Amino acid sequence: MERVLIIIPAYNEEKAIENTVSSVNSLVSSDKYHFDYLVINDCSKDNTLKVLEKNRFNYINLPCNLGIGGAVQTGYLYSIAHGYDYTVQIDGDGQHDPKYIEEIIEKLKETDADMAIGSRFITNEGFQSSGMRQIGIRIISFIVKILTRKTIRDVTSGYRVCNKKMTNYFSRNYADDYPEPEAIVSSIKNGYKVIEVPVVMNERESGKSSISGFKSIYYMIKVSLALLVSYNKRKDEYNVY
Amino acid sequence: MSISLKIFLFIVVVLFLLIIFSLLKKGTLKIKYSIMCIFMSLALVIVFIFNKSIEKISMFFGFENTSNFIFFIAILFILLIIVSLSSTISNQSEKIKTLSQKLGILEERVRKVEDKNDDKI
Repeated sequence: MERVLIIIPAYNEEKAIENTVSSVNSLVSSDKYHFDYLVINDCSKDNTLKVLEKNRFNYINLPCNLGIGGAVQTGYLYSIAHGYDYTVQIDGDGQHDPKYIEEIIEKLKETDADMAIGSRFITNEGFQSSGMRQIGIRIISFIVKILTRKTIRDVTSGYRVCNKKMTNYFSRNYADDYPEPEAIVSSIKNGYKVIEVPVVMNERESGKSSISGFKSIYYMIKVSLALLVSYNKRKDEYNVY
Repeated sequence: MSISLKIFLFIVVVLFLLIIFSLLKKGTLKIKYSIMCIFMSLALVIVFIFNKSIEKISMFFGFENTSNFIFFIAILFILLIIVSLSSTISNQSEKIKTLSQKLGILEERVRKVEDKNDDKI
């Protein structure tokens, strides 16, 4: 039986986190897979922690705010420390439906890949996000394609499934800023295989997206620069697994 | 500004940029904290390229030499970078304080658990 850890980074998600965790809890562990989850509270300023405590959810409470990169990496570190076979990352706001997880893991095995990205842009169903953001995502996707020769449409998707090898790499090398596209570039550059699988995402339940409106342009310039630097980084020397 | 001075300054700035990129590649520098240096250096390179316009601007402000004006711009950039660094340091100092405090509180909890276990034994 293989053990799967579902990490749920959460920052100021007091309204949505209960539903997100219940949807994960409703996943039934089978003979094939045993599912565990871990909420990572990135030092939320709202009542996220109180909600987690009240419901006695499984969580880590970070002492300082590290951003999405640091929070997710914490999850990967935890996964390695506890010997999980697969690590799944989903958003704390309930946009990602955990029902696809088992099917995505099967795809990973089929294609001998190390990381699978849940993409809403393959079948274009469900929530598609705003126009400005879509343009930004297309441009970043284009840059990723130039650097890695791999077409990934939903580059900022936080719905990811990684095997143990990939989790091990990310637990030691994960960007603080704009980790989603950067992780694609650095993993492919270091010889890991990345695939994209279609999923249907839900509309954001509550709270604000962390990237909105014209901030998207500034975000894009910074991401492009970060991707270029990441592409040129010396390969990770300790590829020990 | 003499042509040899322009070439010399240009080469120095390009060398500086190369050093930054090499440090970024090694992983010694983080992108977040090198962005300012990169943009400022690039701005300086552009200043050297468009030196005719720079001469006009420099005379408009009353600088005796164009080179004085360019050094003035470079000094401004350095001050901006220092301010940005100070802001980062302030932020980190706050984080270190929070870490220390929470660590102290956590240690007290662990100690209580250990004492409880000792009592049981």
